[in-house]
Amino acid sequence: MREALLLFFVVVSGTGGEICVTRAMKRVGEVTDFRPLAVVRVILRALKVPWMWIGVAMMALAFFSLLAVLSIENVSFVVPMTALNYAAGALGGKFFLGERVTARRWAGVLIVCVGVTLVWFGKH
Amino acid sequence: MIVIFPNDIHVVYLPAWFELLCRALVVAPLGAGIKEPSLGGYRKPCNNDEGEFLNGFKLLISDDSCFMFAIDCPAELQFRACHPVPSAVHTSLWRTCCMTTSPGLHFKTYCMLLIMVVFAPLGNVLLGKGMKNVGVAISWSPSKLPQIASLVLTSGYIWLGIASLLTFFVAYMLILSWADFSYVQPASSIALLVVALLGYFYLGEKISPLHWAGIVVICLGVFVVGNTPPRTTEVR
Repeated sequence: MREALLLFFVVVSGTGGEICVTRAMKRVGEVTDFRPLAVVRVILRALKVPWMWIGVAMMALAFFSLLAVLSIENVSFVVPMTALNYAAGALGGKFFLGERVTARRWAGVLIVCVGVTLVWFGKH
Repeated sequence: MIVIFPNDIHVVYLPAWFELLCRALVVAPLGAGIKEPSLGGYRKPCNNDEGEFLNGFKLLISDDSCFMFAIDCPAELQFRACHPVPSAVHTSLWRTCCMTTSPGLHFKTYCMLLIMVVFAPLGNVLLGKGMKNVGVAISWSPSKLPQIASLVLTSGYIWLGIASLLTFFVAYMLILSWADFSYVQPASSIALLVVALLGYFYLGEKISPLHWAGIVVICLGVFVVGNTPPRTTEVR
């Protein structure tokens, strides 16, 4: 049960973090200058956006959850489970960012979910 | 560094120091005789159909669902970021800037894919091995967290794992600067199989037939997710 919870954090928090960072960077605006000083300025501007902090915190939570779940479960079980990111990404993109997700992508996500289910039952 | 995929478009932010690191670590050893592509850039989606220059990036086409831009460089190294395929109206424009294949570019792409499918699984396996030495998370209590953190931070396996994952990330960034995301994503799903193989042979993990079947089905699913109509990879 605890590993399921940790895997949930790895997937949902990881994808959620990426979505939050996406929002933050969109608010910061386009980056066209990659000189060190300009990059520092962009970072400072990004840190003023609350979404950035939420995103980074969620990504950190995802990484530490990954470490924790790796201490319980085999790598060959954990890594295929993280493929659920594709499902979370499609859902997050559709409902949180308002993206259009094609039927083909949904079909792929469904196949990924079937595979994840097989891996889950192959283990338990 | 931040990688974002809004509306399936890959947008890559690269700090200058990271770009230098990428060039020193990967492009320089591999890129003998090959002119390296510029590493990323960023353009907000817009409804402007006019070509537009942005810090060396030329916006070629855009509509509400996709946009495409190219850098001012030889055609074979033009960076494309377009997903899904441009509509028929845009096809001729698309053709004019389609990536031409060159043996050097193919070689570089395969090398980068190889680095990706080796280092991502290796990183995960090393993290797994390191964490197994730290102890099972079920017995973790908040009062033990500092002790666990010090175990994690002093574990050679964990640091090697993080280094491997960073190497993977550099390769990932680089390959996305010239290859389609829809090409890279399915190709890199092989990494899932490599993780299972490494777990089986290196860590001695037991994997049931159902488990193997699940991994193969996931790879298949990732192929379907990432696969787009062939025009995005069409060559002139």
